[in-house]
Amino acid sequence: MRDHAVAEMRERLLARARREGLAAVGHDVIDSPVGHLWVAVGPRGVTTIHFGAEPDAGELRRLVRLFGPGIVPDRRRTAPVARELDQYFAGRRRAFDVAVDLRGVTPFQERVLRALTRIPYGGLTTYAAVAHRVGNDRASRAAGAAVGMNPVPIVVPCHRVVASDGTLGGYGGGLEAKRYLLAIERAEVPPGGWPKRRS
Amino acid sequence: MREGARTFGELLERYEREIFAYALRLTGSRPDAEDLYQDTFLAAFRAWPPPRRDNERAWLYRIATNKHMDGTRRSKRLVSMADLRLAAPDRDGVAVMDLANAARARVSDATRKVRTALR
Repeated sequence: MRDHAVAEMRERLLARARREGLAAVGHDVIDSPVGHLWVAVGPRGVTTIHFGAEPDAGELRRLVRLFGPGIVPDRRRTAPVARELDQYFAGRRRAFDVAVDLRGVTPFQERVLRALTRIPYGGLTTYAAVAHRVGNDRASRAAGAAVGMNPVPIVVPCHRVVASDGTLGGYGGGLEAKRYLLAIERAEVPPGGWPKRRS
Repeated sequence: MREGARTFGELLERYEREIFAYALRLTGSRPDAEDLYQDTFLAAFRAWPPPRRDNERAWLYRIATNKHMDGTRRSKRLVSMADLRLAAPDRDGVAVMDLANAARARVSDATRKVRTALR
């Protein structure tokens, strides 16, 4: 049987599954300049962006715990995110309009992640400044951990957070990807990362 | 042994082609096979998880077989209008309309009896 025939048949099956509430999450792999992105969309919005063509076991466990086993390949559900990511990578989008579903994170993590969405395009901040912004100056390590577990990178721009000493800090998708994203937003990257501190 | 599927997506990726091929062998027609494929996976999603995690493949085949037998049984009970026409050709003096009228009369008779019983 040809691939597109299987795909069409599956599409009809998934439409019935969706109507019955049996397919809470739709996912797909999106190609991007920073490599494959595994994207999952739940009933309320984007719930996962994972660097790579497949989620790791922990990520999938988190989704099953939050949404049940109704997690299916579904390009139609991820299409709006894919479109916005394409525009972002092409330098034609500065903010994301798709809804983000942050269920499953702690209230503190959610405060941190919401704070990240307020860092403007092309802006940079530090883990300490994020901690300050969520009202806890001494929690920069905790804020760093919350930034690090961001389930929807790029859309929630954790790449705009760098270490207080001006080095790039960490990134789930690898520092190469972080450098690339910052380059899109600021046109060019100095060799060796960001030398100066801007918080 | 292979680990059980964690999501419906994984279940589909692993088995949809062979379950469709099986459905095609059972039904002998593509539209019927697609119906059976859909019914099988929807039933599996509703009944999730499989009774034994290490044997989801056998579980899916069992669901497909049962769904197919249910379908065959049901279609034996139902007689389509086309078949009814064959069963009662007009040359016998009994038209399809006569059969339909007789059936309708019987239904309304039964309804009347039920109403009386409930009164």
